[in-house]
Amino acid sequence: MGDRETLETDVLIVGGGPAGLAAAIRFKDLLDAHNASAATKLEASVMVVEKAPELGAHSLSGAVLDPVSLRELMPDFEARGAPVANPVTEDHVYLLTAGSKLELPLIPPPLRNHGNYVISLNQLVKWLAAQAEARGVDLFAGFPGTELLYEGDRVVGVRTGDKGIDKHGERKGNFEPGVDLRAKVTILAEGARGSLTKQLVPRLKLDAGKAPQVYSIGVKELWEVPKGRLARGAVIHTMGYPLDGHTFGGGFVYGFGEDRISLGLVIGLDYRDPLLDPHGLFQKLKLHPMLRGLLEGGKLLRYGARTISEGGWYAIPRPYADGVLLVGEAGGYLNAMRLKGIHLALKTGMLAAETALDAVLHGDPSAGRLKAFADKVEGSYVKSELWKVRNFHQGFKHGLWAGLIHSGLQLISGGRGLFDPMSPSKGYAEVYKLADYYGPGATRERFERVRTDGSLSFDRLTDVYHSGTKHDEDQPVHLHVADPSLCETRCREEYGNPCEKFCPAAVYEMVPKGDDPKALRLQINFSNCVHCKTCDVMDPYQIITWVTPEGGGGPRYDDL
Amino acid sequence: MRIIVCVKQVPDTEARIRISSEGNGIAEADINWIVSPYDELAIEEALRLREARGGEVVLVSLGPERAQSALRSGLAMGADRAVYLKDPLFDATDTLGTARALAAAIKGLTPFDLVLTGQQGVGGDHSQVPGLLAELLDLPQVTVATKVEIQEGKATVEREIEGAHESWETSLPAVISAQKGLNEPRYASLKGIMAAKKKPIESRDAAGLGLDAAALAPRCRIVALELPPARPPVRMIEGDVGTQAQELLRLLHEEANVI
Amino acid sequence: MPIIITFAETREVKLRRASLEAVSEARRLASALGASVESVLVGSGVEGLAAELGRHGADKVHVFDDPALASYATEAYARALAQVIQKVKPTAVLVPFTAMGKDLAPRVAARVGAGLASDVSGLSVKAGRLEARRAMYSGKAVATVCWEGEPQMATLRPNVFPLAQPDASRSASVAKASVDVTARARVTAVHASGAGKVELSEAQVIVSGGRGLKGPENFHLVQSLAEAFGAAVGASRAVVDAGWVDHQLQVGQTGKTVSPTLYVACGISGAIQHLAGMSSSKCIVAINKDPDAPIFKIANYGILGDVFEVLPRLTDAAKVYFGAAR
Repeated sequence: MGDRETLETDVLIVGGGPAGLAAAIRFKDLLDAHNASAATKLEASVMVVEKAPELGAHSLSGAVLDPVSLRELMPDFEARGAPVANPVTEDHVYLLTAGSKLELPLIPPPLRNHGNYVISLNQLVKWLAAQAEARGVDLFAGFPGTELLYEGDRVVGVRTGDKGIDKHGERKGNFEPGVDLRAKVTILAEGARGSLTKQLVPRLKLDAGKAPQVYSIGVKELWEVPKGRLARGAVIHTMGYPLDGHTFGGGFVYGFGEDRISLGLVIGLDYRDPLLDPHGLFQKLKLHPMLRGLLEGGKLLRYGARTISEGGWYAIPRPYADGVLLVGEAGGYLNAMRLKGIHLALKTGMLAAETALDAVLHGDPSAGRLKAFADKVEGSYVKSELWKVRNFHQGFKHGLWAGLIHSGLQLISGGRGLFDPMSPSKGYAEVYKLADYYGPGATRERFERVRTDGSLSFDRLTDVYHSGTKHDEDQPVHLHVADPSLCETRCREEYGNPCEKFCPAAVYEMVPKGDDPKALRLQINFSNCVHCKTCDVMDPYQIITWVTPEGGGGPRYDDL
Repeated sequence: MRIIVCVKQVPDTEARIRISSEGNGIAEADINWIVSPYDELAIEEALRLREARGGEVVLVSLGPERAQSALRSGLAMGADRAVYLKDPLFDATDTLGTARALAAAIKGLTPFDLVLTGQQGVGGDHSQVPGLLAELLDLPQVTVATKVEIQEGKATVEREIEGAHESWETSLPAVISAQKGLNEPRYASLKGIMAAKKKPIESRDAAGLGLDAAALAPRCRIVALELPPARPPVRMIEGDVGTQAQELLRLLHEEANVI
Repeated sequence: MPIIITFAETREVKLRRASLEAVSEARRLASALGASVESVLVGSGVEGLAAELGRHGADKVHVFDDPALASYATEAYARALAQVIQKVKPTAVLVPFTAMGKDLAPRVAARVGAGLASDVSGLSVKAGRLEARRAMYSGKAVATVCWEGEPQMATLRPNVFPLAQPDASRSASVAKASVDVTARARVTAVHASGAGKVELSEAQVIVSGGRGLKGPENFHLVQSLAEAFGAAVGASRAVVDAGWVDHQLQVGQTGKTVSPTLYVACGISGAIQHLAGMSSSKCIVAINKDPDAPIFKIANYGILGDVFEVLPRLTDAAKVYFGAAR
């Protein structure tokens, strides 16, 4: 009882999203091909561990999929039932003001979506999971990776989380210790701001000489609307309202099926207003006449939120070290201009699989051999695509118009633009203090929560309910705040407690403390958490660390 | 010791229920299926008894194809093997027919010491199978158990009912149904999940159990299934506080028939 | 003439209210069916209770009175009820859905090969046959069920079927019967548990408190009201998170899902997570001082008022009411 077990596998993948599953599928396919012609057949096991209660439950995205990598992974993906029933039929970009819209007459080629598909990432991941399972991959849902296992500086595997610990940290009757999974090659595919990736990168200085990673938050809802409201496969992107000229981001509205609309708002997590409320801004977007017209009379089906890696090529750390590879958004592989990352996740997953098989065949998972992954990425469309947009996000440092100009210049110069590299965004450090943004003497009372009407716009708790998120309440709080007294004093004064505003799931709340009517303390409603990681990214003092809660908890992003 | 656990797969208790197009069942698409929580208690209790006294734990479940994943979950928790009952005749049967099929399968597992099951399946919420099974197997029963202790040839069982705490004693074999508080079910470990893939699940159909259409014809059936009626607008009770209190009690008794 | 049988459960040599509800309902159905009503009474020293069954509509009472039957034992009681069913061949059998009924009815149903509908909250007559309504999926759906063959057996949800006005002029004939009292499972000890210690998700009546109570020191108002109603105590997420009460009391999406006959929400605004946990309650009462609180959208009855004033008054009134009725 309490003794940790050890399990061995050849390849261990942390994260059952598109990158992780593509790596698993590709590894097995390459292995089969190798064995078909090899003199001695190799048996190699692949294990995927995923914190969600089932594969796909924590996967969400807009999304518009460029099928280039899916086609490479499985040329017959359509015949195999991949959920790609909505090819893009129309492409629009609008600039919105509070009451009107202006359509851009021309969409630059990289932003055109002809040949792409409007999909649900959740559905795609479920399908990929079935494909992986059919190939003999061991998929373990409900098992988060909590700690990397090292021998010296070599990664030798991952420890999974303990189960059955109560809110005081004591073992419950059904305590089940986590398992040490030892692998020759560990592939981290945790998505943006992965918790193991966050431990690994500084320890092995994989970010030496790189720009710091920068993020956006995406907030999304899935709606059921009367048929014909929005053409199936219609792709709409918006700029402007409700974001001001200094806030990076924009909206998306996709026709997903006959009577479904996927819509959301992406906001750069380097905004200035300390009281910015991403969820609230998304609700405001829906009140715009164009959106209202599309959603009126419809029904909210699902809600979710997630951070997105925005830093681009210059912020991607060295993606290999002894025994370990980084793929997908965990590595930072996302095209911020096209707002597409799934195809890059799939492709980097596949390249990692090639690299891993080679390492397993030679019994050598050292950095020297795993470097081949970086070389493969360099020689693939992952590099050529990301190179062209390497300064995209940074171009918006001085506002929307400057950003559009920089972007245009970058487009015609293969990504170089006016400055290369452009000085990176400072992310959370771009946020202004209350006094600097709102004027001297401004307090947290300046904040006004957006009013919601309950039919077109919703308060956060109602949205959280529609995320399906659930956690066993009797477990330790998985949001570690290093010094909560800071929240009550310094943060309250300097920034007005932004966590209450930037969390799209109402996890953080400053509530009255004791008898003093003016004293507040931080209350963490952790079971609302949708695992977006915004708090880990954005708190001004960087004292919040998001760790994996007990496996199996979190949202259920059906069809998101 | 051979302990048999009857397991039922049900919709997740959080699932939003939609009515099927036929109007007499639920729409099954997009539902997350789980092992009925009370059955998990039964599985856990069986595993603890096996750990204390040795023997084997055999799961039995009746249901469509998807029900096998409920058996795999139980095997992943540590049960040894499973028997899966599937037949078109089972799909349309009622609680008595289900119990007849389970009883026939359990008879095929003689000798056994104990039959454990959840006190109700949170889909149908009938709370009948334990009693039906006990009668069909001609065994004593103790329902809604919150504690079970096994001695030679008998068991001591505790139950909580309506403001009282009872201790019972029963000879074995017996049918015992599990109530919340019996135990805290274990998590399926990674090793358990891997091992479960290799554990045997034996399939049986109606003919193989010696049951025909007559034996399985439902004696009670669902004619229609509906979502609960929309509530009428709230009736605000007026007057001063004293009046409101009296009026509320009166309405609850005379109009709502709830007290 | 068809016959409807009811099972009469006793406690401390008194008829339980649910037994009277069953015989009242049997009488009502019998009138529509042109049937008579016979009750089965099992216990020790219980013969005198037959008269009360008569006043509530029973025409005949089969009495199994034996010291060995003083405590409930499944097999003995089941044998008794089944014996009467096999002799009388009723068209229907109604048993209260109490802990005893839950334990007893299925055993009897299997013994006599009857279809059994559990926890029904409505019965009606259609072309000489019965039809019942019952909740399924933790109260999220309502089924209409009917039977093939006879007897049509049902267990009745307590506190739902109205009591008949006792008619002093009615009396029931008494038929003494005996049965083999062997039982391989028996009660060995009974202790009363703490008052009101009902498992929340099984409770028929729940009184719940929310943020409107302002602080943990006021939660006793909710507990007193619950005690007066003989109800279980529940709480909203907000007060559990704030540490006022234990998580075991939490009603709502991540707490317990409940579908009681009566749910009284005190100072609870009605956030969707809470509604998800109690919206299938049969009757909902909301007490809140905010007229816009979402809870009023799903409540049957509402009191717009201050919980600090309303709860004590309601508690006093309830003590009087229940003191008389229980």
